[in-house]
Amino acid sequence: MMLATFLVLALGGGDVALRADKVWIDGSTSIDKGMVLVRDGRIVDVAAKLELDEGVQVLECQGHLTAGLVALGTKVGVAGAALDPTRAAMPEARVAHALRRDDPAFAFLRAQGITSVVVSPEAAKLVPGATAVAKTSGALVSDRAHLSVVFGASALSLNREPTSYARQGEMLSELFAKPEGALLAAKRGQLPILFEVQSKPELRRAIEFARERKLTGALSGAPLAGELAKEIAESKLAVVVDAGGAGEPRREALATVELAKAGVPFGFGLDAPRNPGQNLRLVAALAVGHGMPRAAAHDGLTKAAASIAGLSERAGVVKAGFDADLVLWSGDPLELSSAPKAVWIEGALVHGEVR
Amino acid sequence: MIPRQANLAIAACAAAILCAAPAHAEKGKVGQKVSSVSARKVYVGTGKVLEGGVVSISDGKIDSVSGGGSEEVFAITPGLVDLGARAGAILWSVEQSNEVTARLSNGEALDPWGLEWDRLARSGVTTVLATPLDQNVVGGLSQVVKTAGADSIAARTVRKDSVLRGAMGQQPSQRNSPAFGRPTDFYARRPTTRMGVEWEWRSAFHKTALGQNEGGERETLTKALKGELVLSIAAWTTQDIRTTVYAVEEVKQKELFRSQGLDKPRVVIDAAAEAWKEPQLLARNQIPVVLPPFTATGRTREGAFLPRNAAEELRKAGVVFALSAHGSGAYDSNLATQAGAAMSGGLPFDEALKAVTSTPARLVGAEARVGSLEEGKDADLALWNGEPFEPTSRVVAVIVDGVLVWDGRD
Repeated sequence: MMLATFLVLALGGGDVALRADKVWIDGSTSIDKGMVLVRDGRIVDVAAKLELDEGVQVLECQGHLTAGLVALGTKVGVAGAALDPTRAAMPEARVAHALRRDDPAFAFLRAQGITSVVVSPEAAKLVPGATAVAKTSGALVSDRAHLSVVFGASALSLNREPTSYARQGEMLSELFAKPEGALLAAKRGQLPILFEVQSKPELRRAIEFARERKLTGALSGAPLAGELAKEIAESKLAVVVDAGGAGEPRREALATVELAKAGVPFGFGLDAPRNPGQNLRLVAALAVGHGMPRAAAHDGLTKAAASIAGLSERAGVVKAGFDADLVLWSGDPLELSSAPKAVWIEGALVHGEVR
Repeated sequence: MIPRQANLAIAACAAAILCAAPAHAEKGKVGQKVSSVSARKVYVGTGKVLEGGVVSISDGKIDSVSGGGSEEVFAITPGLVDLGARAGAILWSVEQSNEVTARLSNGEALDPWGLEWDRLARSGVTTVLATPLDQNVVGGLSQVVKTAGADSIAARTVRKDSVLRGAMGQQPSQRNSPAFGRPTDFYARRPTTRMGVEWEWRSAFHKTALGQNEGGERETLTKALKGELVLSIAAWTTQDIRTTVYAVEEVKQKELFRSQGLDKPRVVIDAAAEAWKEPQLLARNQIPVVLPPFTATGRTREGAFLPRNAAEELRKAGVVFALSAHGSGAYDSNLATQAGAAMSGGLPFDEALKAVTSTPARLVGAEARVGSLEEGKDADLALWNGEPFEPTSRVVAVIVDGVLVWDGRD
C-alpha cells in the first residue's frame, strides 16, 4: 500500500483524495471526516464531502491531517558551512550556496512532520547574509528570503572588530546609512530582516534600531522575548520563538504565551540539526500547557511560521491552491504522544505510509 | 498607636490599626511610593544630623527634612554612591579592536535586568558610575545610573555619557602579545607595557590638539580636555598615579593645549590604591581619587598596597577622595563595609559618610540630584537598623526616587 501511494502521488498521475478523521485547515478551523483533493502536487479542494470524478483514488487516513510544519531558524543542510567569522559583514552572502540538498538531516525533520525550513547563516557576525527557504525534500524555494542582521553578542569576536556592543551598534548604523544591494533591499522593506538576538537588552536595541529606520521583519532567537511582548507588539515585528531556549522551560513557555496574548505574530524556530526535530512541537505543546490558545500554537507551527518564512501564499494552510505539504498524525498534533504516520511534500509521500 | 506621619506602608490599612502598629514602620510594600519616613537619626550627608528626623517625599524628590518625627528605623542616610561598582563591566562593554575608543558609549552594554543592580541596591548603593571594562587605554563614555527603578537604563540614567573612562597601568596591556612572527589578531599591535599605555594617552591628547584623530574621537577627547566631561582614569600603583598626574600636568602647561583651552581636564583617578604614597602630588594638582576596596592583607590588584589608614592619610593631606567596592558578587565587598574599614583606619564617621555619598556624587557632577538629603534632590535613601557602617548594622530598606525598592525588615 505504501508503495502504491508513493507511486501514485509522487508521479502526479491523476487526482488523489485524502479522507481523514479530522482535517485541520489552520489552527482555528477543522473539518471532521474532511477530504483533501490533491492534483499535481497542489491542493485542489478541501471540504467535508467532495464530488469526485470517477477513478479518483481515495486514501482513508486514520488520524488528524494538518499542513506540514514550518521550522524557522534552522541550520539544516549546511553542516558548519554557514559560519564565516573572518569579517564583520557579508550582506551579499547567501546560505543557499552552502546548502546540501541531500543532507541526511532533512530526513529526520521530515519524520517529524516538518516540510519546510528556513535555513539561516550562523549569527557569528553583524550581517552574515541571506537566509534560504527549502522544503525538507531538499528542494530550494528561495535563495534570499531574509537578510540576517545580528544584534546578539554572538556577532562579537575577540579577534576582529567589533568586540563590543557599542561598536556593533555603530557599525550597523554605518552599514544602514549607505546601503547597497541586499542592505538596500532590506532598508526599503523589499527583503525582510531577521534580527538575531539573545538577551532582552539586545532585543530592545534591535527594536529601537528597526523603529528608527522603519525596518520590517522578525526578531529571532531571544527565548524570553515574550517578557517584552508589549514593546514587540508596538514594533510590528514578528518573533521566531527559539526552541532551544535559555534553560528555563517554564519561564520561556510563559513568555511565549505573552506573545500570543499581545497579538504578536510568531512562529517556532528550531536549531536543527543541533536540536532534534521533536523540539519544535515540544515547545509549542509546552506553551499550550502554560496557557497559550491551541490555535495560536498550531498556527505558530504552520500558518504563522509560513508567513514569516515568506511562504504565506503556498504553505502552512490546508487550502486550495497551496502546496500539498501534508502530515497525517496518529492523534492530536499538539499531543506529544501523537506521531506523524505519513508526510507528503508537494503531493509526494516522503515519510511513513497510509494503511 | 499609629504614628501621625504616614509610614512606609502607604495608606495604613485597617488591619494595621487593629494590630496596634509598632513604633517602627511595618514592613512596606516593594514598588510602592513612600510619602515620608522617619528615623532616630537622619544623616543628611552634609555633616548635619537630625535626631528624630523625618524625610518627606513627593514626586520622587525630597520635600523637606525636619526634626520631631518618630523612629521607624534607627538611621537614614542618603543612598550611597559608588564610582567603582563595575556594574555592567562585561567583556562586550569595551571595543578592543582599537586601544583608544573615546567616542564609544557603554550605555548600550548595560543590561537593566542584570542581577548586579539589585544586589547593589540591597547594599544601600543607589547610584553608580558604570564604566566599560578597563581593557582599553581609553575605554569610552560611561554612565551615572541608578541601581533601581524602571527596567530601562535610559530611564535610570542620571548623567549620560558624562564621564570618559580609561586606564593607566597594566590592565590595558594585559593579554596583548608582542608581534612574534605574523600577527593573527589586533592584540599583537597593542601596548604590552606601561610605557606603551602612557604613550597611547599622550598620543591621544596630542592628536586631539593637533587635529589628527577622527571626528568622533577628537570631539570626545576635546570635551574631556576642556573639562566638559569628567576624565576617570584607573591607576592603582604609585608609578601609574604619577604617570597620570604628569600627563595632566603636561596638558596644563604646554602652549599647544593652553592656546586651545584644552588645558582644563577634570581628572579623577580611580582605584588609586597607592595614592597615600604621594598625597602631596595629588593635593598640589587638586586631583581627587577613588580608593579601591580595602583587602584583608592590604594587597590589591596590580601589586599595589592599600593600608587601612590610607583614607585618613589622604584626608589629612587634603586630597579629595571617595570609597568604592568593585562589584557586587558573593565574594565582593560592599560599600558600607568599605566605609567601616576606612573608619577602622582612623577616618571619622562624617568623612566616611561623605566619601560614599556627597563626594562621589560631586566628582561625577551628579550632586544636584544625589548624594545628600536636601530639599529638591532625588529621594534616594538607605534605611539602617543601627549606626551606619558599624559591623553590627546593616541596610534594612532602600528607597530610590521615592519608591521603596527593597525592604529586608522582618
